[in-house]
Amino acid sequence: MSIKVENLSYVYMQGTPFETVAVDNVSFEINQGEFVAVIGHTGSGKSTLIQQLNGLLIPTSGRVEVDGYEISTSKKDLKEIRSKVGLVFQYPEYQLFEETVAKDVAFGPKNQGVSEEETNIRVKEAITDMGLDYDEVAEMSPFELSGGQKRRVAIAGVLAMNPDIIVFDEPTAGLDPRGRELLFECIEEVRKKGKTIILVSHSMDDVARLADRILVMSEGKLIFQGTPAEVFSEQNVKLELNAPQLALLARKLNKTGKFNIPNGVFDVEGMKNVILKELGGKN
Amino acid sequence: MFKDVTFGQYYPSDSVVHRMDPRFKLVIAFAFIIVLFMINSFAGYITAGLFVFVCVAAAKVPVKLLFKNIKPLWFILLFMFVINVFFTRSGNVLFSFWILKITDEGLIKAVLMLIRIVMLIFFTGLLTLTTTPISLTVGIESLLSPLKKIKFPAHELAMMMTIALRFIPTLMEETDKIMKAQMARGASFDTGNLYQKAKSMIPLLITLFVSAFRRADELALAMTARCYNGGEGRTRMNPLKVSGVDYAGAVMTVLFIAAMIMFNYVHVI
Amino acid sequence: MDNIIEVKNVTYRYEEDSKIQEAALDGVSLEVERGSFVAVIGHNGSGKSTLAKHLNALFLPSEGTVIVDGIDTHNEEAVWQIRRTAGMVFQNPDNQMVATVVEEDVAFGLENIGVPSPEIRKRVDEALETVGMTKYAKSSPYHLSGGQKQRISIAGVLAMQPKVIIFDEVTAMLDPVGRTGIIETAKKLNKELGITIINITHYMEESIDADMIYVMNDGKCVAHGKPRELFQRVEFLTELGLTVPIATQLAYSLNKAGVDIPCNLLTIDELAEALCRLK
Repeated sequence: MSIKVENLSYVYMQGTPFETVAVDNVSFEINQGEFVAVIGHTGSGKSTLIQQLNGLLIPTSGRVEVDGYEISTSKKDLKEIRSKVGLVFQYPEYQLFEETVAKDVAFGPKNQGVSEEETNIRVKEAITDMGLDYDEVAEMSPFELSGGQKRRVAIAGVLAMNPDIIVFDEPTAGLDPRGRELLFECIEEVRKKGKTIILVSHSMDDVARLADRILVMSEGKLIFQGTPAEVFSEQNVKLELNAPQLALLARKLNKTGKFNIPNGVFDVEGMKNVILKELGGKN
Repeated sequence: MFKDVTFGQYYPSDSVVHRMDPRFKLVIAFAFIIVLFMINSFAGYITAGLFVFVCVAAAKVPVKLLFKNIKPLWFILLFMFVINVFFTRSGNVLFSFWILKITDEGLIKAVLMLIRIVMLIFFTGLLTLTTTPISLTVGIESLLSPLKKIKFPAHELAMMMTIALRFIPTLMEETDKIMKAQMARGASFDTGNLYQKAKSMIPLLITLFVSAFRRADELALAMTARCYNGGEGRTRMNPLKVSGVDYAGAVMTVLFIAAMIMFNYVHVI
Repeated sequence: MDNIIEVKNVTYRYEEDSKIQEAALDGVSLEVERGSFVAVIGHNGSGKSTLAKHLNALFLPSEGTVIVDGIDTHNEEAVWQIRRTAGMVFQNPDNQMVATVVEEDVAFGLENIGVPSPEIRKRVDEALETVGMTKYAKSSPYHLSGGQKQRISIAGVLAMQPKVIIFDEVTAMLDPVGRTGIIETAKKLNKELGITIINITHYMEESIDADMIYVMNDGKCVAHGKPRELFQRVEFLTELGLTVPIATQLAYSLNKAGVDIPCNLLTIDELAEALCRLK
């Protein structure tokens, strides 16, 4: 299961004075099981890009191929692709509408025409995967839950469709630190089941810590792609991104000549060990 | 899909018509439309046409924009034209086929009706093109304010219109977002029979309503925090001011309208 | 000490909702010094937003009192006076704008309190200038970014010439660029105009420069202190579902591992400096 994007462009309101090129000749590939982050400023074309990955927007030019299916206006192919690529929008909790949590999560599988038995299994699994107690929440109204729980229910609704690839658009926006942490743990769990994860995020610290590979968008163009260590390396400062805090620390320490911190350490625990080693016998 | 919709199609410019008090514009438009349906002479039509022409020229609005207003209504115009042509029985028969008869009188009536409607669309179009939605509501509030004495909620009505105008694009964008999110979850809004289509709208509508209520709730709190306490004692940053332009416009309108009515009785042509 | 806000033993229950029996606020007391920059942190549902809405009489305490610039919020006649003294900016940029033109929206509050037209014009222009949005005065807010919309909302409050501005999770829905812009604006209002700022947030980075931080949990104010003192309590804050700045986290775990480094470092710069001194 892979995504292949070739020379993809998307133009809003083509042929009018308001014409804007949102995505400009972008090409990349994402492999099965990868965790890929998409970063870039607001308005860099990230949202337009990901909406083309499951055919919510049809490319103006270029190709998007998901597991051999190409995105086009063919309704049959689109249905197939939307089952393979799940898309979690920003603030997905505002999308909840059913009377109970279980019914809401079942909305996707039902549209797919999955049998009731299978639907129930999937609903239970998805809710559990999102770190919620199925027996406790299944019959509750989604509107009784806390903000963070609502969001995880909404994400379960996408998981229940059993997609191979899940795209998250700013999944932690507005959550408090604990909510953020819980959600990332759930995403990690989902990933361990072999799903491909595409994460759109503004948080460089999270992205650097979690992703295998990062796509950097700017003004509709894909200006760089590589591992977190490559993207946030010292040579790459020109990207003008808010580098992760620990990358900044490494740069500062290395500049003094006293330290030699390697590229690509983005978690506190790892950095602690590196620094301990660097300080060596002194302590 | 909703990104293409432009609402409250104000055309920014600095013409005399733009500078006129919205109250005068509203009253003039209202008066013109009433008289438009009273005229029954060719001279009257020509006068009305001249009036529209003068107003459009003074407003410096591209005529193309005015024609754009007609586009969505072409079917209704055609329908009215056909009705008038075929259902007028009097006059000399020009053409007849089966039970259908076209008379010269019917044809003239239909053409005149068409001209009337087009002028109506032009004139109301001109009003919205030269007046911002907000000053339109201010104008309406001001015109209705004498009714406050009989407890008519003029201010509340205007405030509701303002808020509606403010939230229409927001809610349209939201509808688009919700539809996309539900399509991503396998919903389809354009397949199946009418019943299935209607059914697929239910989740969309529920979500939209919940969201609209949430927004209303937050907005109410924000307005309270900003000391909103009804219309009493409110002032305005840009109070309505009547200027020379308004009187000139009013006098001109009265003259034109007088001419239009006069020609009903004094047949020049 | 000259306090502009005093919250004394405030308890608040959402009475109309029988499902919530617990008090949303439970015996909260705090003081805000005139001209200071105060942060109130806490996880979602800790009661911090409920507290915020007490500071301009949107909510009235079930028990206890809130004094704003010397006036008790229970005093019904003074409610508009209190809301002029303590302005509030909310979380969602889209749900607090009333007008379809930027300057009309900034004028909204002034129109409500009956300020004469020429004075409104003057104050609106000044407020837009202060937040750096003069260029957009005639624009429709619909086409602006979230950060720009929030600055318009700040201008709307600012035009009322308040003594306190409460930021109720104003940056929660913004991207990093928008967030930085808003915090810079808040600091500027505090430093240059002497307006007291109360920033309700769960982003710890926003409270590093605060004069005082109050920590909310389960409707109670469980701790307060200056950032440097408070953030040293890494375990305590983590327990409450909060985080400390990443520099503090690292300094803390290095310290635990036996490195001779203080735990009260707040920024990457301070940490780098301290580490260099060790080598």
